[in-house]
Amino acid sequence: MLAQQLFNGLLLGATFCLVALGFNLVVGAMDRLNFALGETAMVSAVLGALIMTETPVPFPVAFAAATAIGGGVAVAVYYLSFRFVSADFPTASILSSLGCGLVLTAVVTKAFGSHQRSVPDVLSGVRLDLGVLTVSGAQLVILLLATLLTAGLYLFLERTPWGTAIRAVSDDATMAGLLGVPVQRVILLTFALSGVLAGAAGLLTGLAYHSISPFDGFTTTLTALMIIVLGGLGSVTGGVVAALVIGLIQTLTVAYLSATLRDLIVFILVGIVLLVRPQGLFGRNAGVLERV
Amino acid sequence: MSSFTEAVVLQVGISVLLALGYWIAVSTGKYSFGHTAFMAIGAYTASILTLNFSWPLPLAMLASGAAAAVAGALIGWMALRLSMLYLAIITFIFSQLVNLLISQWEYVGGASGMIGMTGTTVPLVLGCVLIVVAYLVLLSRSRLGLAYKAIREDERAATASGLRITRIAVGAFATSAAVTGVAGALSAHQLMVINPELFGPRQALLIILYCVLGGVEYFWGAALGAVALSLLPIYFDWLNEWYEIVYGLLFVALMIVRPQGLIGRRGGGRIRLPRIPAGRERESVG
Amino acid sequence: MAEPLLRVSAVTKHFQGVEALGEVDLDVAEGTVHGVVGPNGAGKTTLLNVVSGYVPPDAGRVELAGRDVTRLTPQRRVPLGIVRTFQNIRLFGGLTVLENVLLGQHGRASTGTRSLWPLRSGADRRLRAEAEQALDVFELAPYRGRRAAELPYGLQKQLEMARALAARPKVLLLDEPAAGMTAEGRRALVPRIRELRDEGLTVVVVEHDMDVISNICDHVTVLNFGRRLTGGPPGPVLASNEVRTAYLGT
Repeated sequence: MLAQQLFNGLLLGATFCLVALGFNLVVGAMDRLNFALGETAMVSAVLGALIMTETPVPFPVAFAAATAIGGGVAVAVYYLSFRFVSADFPTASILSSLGCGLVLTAVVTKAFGSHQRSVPDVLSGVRLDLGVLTVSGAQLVILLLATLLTAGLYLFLERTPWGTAIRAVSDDATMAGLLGVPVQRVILLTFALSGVLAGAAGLLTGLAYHSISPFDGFTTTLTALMIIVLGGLGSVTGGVVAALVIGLIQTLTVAYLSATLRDLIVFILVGIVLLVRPQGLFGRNAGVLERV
Repeated sequence: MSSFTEAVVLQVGISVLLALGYWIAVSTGKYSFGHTAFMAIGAYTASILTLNFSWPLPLAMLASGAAAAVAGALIGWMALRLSMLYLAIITFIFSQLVNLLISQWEYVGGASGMIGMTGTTVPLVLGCVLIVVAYLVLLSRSRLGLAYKAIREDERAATASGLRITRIAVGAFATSAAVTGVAGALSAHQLMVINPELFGPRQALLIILYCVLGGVEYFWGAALGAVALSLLPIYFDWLNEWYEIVYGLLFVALMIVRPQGLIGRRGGGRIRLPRIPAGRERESVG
Repeated sequence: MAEPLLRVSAVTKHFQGVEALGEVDLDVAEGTVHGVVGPNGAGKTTLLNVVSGYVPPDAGRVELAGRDVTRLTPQRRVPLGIVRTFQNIRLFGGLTVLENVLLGQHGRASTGTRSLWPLRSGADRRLRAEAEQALDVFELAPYRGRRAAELPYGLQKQLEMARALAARPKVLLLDEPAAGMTAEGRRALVPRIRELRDEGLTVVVVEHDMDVISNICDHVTVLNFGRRLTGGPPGPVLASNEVRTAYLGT
């Protein structure tokens, strides 16, 4: 029982991880938060689910479509809320992206209704029995894809020239620009990547819960933000660890305490971390000003 | 006054209060993304007091303001020491926490909320608006108001002049929360029904939009923004249907064209130095 | 010698393993102008940052009139009398010239909720009059209602000094006051600082311009590679061989 719950928790954490990574990519590149990323995940998930139910295409195609949609939406949000918004107003992009999120939710509810939409199962025949825990086909798919994407992102950032450029811009955009890195294109790339991650996360979460609601975007943003606070703004390792921790806590709370306490315990945890270690578990000191 | 006009005045008055309350926090350059939390705290505090303890509304409003101010001070103290992005995240999370708590608290009706509050009158609302406006007029000519502006303008220069930034900003945040709490109390007793959903992201964004549309430089800009945006859906019915999309797009367009709002200077008059990403600034060595 | 007003003892500061300051001592007597000189990267600004509280030292003490202020934040040092200017000017660019000076008085004025009272107190009126006077002294009166960001560079430097002085400091720390000034501006700087000293103000000044240094300082301390090289009256010290060697690197 415990092993099964731990596994479920890690699985949930793995999907959280994707969105949190998306947020952190953008924070790194621009020192801005994209508050529409949760809605981006939701749009991808709803459209992905539609593709799965309405067309005969196999799951991998639907998944690829969802990630592509996520990337596209994120790029659109970049142009609307970041590219042409003056950097002199640090909150302008946050406000604007919140506005985008609102619009995305409203458009989806107008176009497809505000009801919960079921997400068809995949590999429903497969069932792995490992003794202490059983893994369904869908879970296997989620685990595999989430791991692949996280590892792929890591390799991309560490091993490719574009990844290096992203890290350079995160470290010091001005300096990177002076050294000839095409900063604007790198930022665009990080937005596209964050959208791809969010799109994947959206559909995979839908797969895990077998359903998706147009109002999930907001919850997704919220969870991702809590992960970021816990792990430390801009810290990739911190994001991964915090995502797994929150996934585990949520699952274990539901299993052993009560479903209503699920979010509350995470809130309390985040509150404690903020009080004791405001820069997050793995954060650089970047968020904390020198005064106190 | 016809009951329709009365309803319009009440709604506009409460919106103006929300905008002015939010403006107080913004005048120090600190944007909250969860002022609905203070609104909810005010609304529920007052509703509990008037319904269950039969307090008169004005007294309950004072209690609402106080409760919201305490919450504001606590959140401000946690968040205002940190960078702008953390403030955004923490206030956002806080509003969700409050929402979660009230939707799970049976005493206040959980997700279905509370019903039966009455007593918001035109003189009461306009009186509150008048008090807040008087306060803001005094603030804008006082040294406290100057300190708010200084923090908004340049925190390092403020430090160099000996301003206790965190303390001043927390004070502003608590005052802002108090006004928002009172507005919440009034709103609850005007709507007669409250539930957690009323204090969701839509309302949060609306408060910010009131303030930002008019311009954050002068408080009356925020008030004008609130008047305009709360009148529009009353006279244009179709807006209620397309509310989110229209207001969301308004936000997006505004941030590109005039991020400082319709009233106010372009660019904030900052001394232009090469932009250094927040939090990475270092004094030169040697 | 009497107890110095400002005493820096054995201050050490490392930045990521690089020693910016190594056991630096600095004694500044009341009512004197003390110059801190040295080649680029010698640790002059870091020393100023340690004294004003922007950089916590790894070791050592900073004392003002016998009181240990090493652990205090910059904004707590201002009311005690340690006020500074910055190498690259930090003004409230969007606020008016007058407002900048009024903010300099922050620690001396009543700035809490009580300042909201519509009738200004006598004390506050006096402070405001004093601010207007400071504008006259610094030739800023014609610009009192202009935004600080609109002033030309030289006047911005003047305004920054006026704002710092509005706090009535005991020790004024000037970080390269002559940098970027016109020759005329530099010439005006010398009598102004002398005047301040004659009124009893203690000044610590970091400066590259040796003319300015030798004209205004009663005492100089030479830093090199974060270490105190030598110190004394400006004439002999600046003429000494070891200082010349440090500067010319030969």
